[in-house]
Amino acid sequence: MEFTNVIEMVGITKAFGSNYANKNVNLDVRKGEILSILGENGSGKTTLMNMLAGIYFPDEGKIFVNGQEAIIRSPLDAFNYGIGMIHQHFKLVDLFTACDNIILGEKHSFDFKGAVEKIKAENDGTDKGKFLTVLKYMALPFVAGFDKAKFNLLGRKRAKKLQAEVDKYGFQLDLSRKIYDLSVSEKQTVEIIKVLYRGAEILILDEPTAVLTPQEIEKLFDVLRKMKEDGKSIIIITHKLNEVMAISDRVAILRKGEHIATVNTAETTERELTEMMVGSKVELNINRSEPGRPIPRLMVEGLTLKNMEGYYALKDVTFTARAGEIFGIAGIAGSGQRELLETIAGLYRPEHGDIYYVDPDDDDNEIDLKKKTPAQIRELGVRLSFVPEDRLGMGLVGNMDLTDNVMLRSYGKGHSLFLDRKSPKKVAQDIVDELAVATPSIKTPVRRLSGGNIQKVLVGREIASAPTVFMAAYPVRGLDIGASYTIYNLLNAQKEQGVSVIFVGEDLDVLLALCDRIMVLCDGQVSGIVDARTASKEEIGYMMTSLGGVDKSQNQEKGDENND
Amino acid sequence: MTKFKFEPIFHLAKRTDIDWKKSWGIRLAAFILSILACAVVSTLISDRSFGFFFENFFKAFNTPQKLWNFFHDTAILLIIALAVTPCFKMRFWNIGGEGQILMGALGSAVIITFMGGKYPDPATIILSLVLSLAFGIVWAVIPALFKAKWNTNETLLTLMMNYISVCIVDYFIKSEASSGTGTMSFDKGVVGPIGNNEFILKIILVAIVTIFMVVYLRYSKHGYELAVVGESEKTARYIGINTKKVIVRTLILCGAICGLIGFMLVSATNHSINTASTVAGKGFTGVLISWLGHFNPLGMLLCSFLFVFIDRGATQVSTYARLGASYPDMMTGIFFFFIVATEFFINYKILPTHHFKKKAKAEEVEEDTTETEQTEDVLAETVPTLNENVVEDTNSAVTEAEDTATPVVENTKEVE
Repeated sequence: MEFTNVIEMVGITKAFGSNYANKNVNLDVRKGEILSILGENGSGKTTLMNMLAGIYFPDEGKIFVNGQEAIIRSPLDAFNYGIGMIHQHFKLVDLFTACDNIILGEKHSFDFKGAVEKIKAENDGTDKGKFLTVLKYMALPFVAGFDKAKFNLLGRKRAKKLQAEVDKYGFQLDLSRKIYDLSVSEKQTVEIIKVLYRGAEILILDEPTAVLTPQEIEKLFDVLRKMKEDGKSIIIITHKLNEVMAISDRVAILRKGEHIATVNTAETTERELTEMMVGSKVELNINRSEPGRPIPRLMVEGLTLKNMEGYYALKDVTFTARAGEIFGIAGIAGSGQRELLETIAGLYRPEHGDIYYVDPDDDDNEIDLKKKTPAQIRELGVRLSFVPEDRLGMGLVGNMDLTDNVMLRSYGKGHSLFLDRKSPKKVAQDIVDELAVATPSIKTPVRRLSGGNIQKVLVGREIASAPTVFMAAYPVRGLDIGASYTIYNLLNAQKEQGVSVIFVGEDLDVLLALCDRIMVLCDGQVSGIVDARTASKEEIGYMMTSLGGVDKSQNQEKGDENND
Repeated sequence: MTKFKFEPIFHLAKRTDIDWKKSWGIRLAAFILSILACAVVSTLISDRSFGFFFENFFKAFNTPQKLWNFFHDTAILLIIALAVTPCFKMRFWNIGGEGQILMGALGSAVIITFMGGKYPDPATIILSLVLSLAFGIVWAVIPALFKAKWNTNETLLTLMMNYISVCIVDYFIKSEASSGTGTMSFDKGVVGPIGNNEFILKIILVAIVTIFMVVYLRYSKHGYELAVVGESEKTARYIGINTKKVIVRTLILCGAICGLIGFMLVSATNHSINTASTVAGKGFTGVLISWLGHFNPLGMLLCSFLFVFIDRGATQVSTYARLGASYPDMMTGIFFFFIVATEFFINYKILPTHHFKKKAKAEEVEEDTTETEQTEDVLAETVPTLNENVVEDTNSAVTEAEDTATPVVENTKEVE
């Protein structure tokens, strides 16, 4: 079969310092195909694509677009070559409508040369004709100005035309809505339309599914397939294997900046891909042991929280986390997961509701944690660990070294005015040794470490305090497969020690494999609590999008049974 | 298809860890260059020879008296920088050191005016110290409370309060001493020289404050807390630090030191108070010193030392050459210019794009150095700059430029 290559990348090398992000990568993209770029974090997927999109410039190597050598120095150049990239973090103006965002930056240029030619052609040589020609020349700047004014002022008229195009691809989106009103998946749609509108023939999507529910992912894939039929080439960056298998025609695998292979999806298996991606055989199973002695450890009743804007971030949330189990929390991003954990940790003061901690050190007496600050909770002897979502912004201080970060939680102990750095230093060294943190020394500022190592330091610190309740919000976000499994194993080890683990995750496959029970949040409310051993992905997906799920009665019963 | 575009000629690469030898080499070079630049500028603006500058510059340090003055000025500048440093470490941009010191000075002036000569000197001195501290603290805590309570902008508030303090002090001087000069002098109830040396006491005081500040910032829980608050308020909340308390507490410390400075200036140095000359802008210079010293007391010691060195030397030159009162300001300006520029060379290294060199040989390429159509991300990496290699890059950048086959080697960005 003959294929036309729309893009060829030959011998692309890009180094940041002494680290090679990409090393001699050869890659080709065919017309009308969906190509997945698969690789662990830090394998150089995004860097490679950024070079196509004009964000970076390659140190070595050449890029050919439609067979011709292309020099792409800026995103504008990339657009001119018909390459459009949809970044992981959307670049939209919140206060504008979707339509305004799409046409933003569009420039109007008046075709002076063409106008002059036209006037020349109209000149019939007579006196009258000559006179009219002079007049027309004089009027030219005004015509141009009027044209531009018309273009600027009547920009909104284009919305109709745009909407028609949007409907063509089967996007369900009203372009007159403001961006801040849109959901994450709708924002992504706006980004895609924006790129299409600029006439992109090659679309690059950087981890587009990370923020979507299973149903939304299906919808996105439908759209991608439609675009493929339309002859567009699509490159999709991901590290989720099931998606690769579902959508792509070919897969290019990168490992440590090097291009390992490009294979046809139909001729490969998930296992084979993983091995190519990681470089060695990995066990993809998460061991799930039976909960030990599941007594209640943390009881949350009717928790209600208003956020700064006065909306309800949490509404009547009730659940019980038991010792020796992993209690998963699922939901679309921003459904109140963060607020729930932060309220339990004492960062917010809830409107109503109670949080009780059953203290194993004190004869299982209940301690009320409601409206206590983190410092007060610690003073009460509650061993509550919390790995927040925002590692460097909240959990750790980027500019401080490992020792200083390890003592963040414990520095206040004792009445001395001075800091004790000796024991934190030992703890830091232990964390580095036990969790195999790759760092030059414990005196390195943590922001210099890679994402996985930063997370190991944070989780290590929280485990070092010997918790009885361990809360983790998206602990594997942005981590590669190897590091993710390290974290899962750590959580499992905690569970086996009888710790009550609360795990907020986004990958439903992982949640289903790791947790014992899963609570699904929808819009700040509990949509249901299911047994992770029997629940299905679709079931949870429905519960994420609508309260109680579509087949509400069944789910509710099931959840209640498991709750008992 | 777009028109053919050329690549950038130079890369700027951010370096994250630089050898201390290299960075100090850059700083030393900058200092020497700044002195040379001062000399060149002086030659240009006066009719004297190049050597004249150096001959007279060092005359500022040739007698014990001048040396003592030099150390004293350094000490005063250092303690001002020390006073505002904890605020800056907390990212509380207190540029009101000037006003806080002036209020401290007012505290001493009030006590000396009403008690000087009527009561024993020790009592007057102790009371004036106490009132100085109190005034300084009040002036510093007001913006802290506003910040803690209503999250007001501390930069604006502290700046504005400088002007208020000037007005208050002016009012006091005019109502108590109507000499018309705007200066109020004291001869009784002030700190006299110790064993004929009027500087030693202050230098010792500053040394104590310096040591205290090193310990406070590095080894105390308070210092740790304020660093956490400065780095990330979210982290502070997460570990249960009471941010408001830390802000107010730190500003109390800052105000107390400012009050002490005010006391030192009025009671131990000038024996007078005047809104224009008592602090004379040193409150703002202190802010600069604090920044240039990277909030490290020892770095600040060096900076204030060098600053006063240039300032006094230049003052001497201007006296001999009659270059006017603004001349020392110009010279210190040149000094600051060079020192600030070192930060750029310490944080970035300039690399030629070897890619470009290859192309230049292959086909004749027009020089196109002004292209800057880069996105923000790239800006840190590839901004075309000066067509010269930087002093410190002798071993790495130059060799790489020669050998186009070798890939660029810089310092690591991330530790994997």
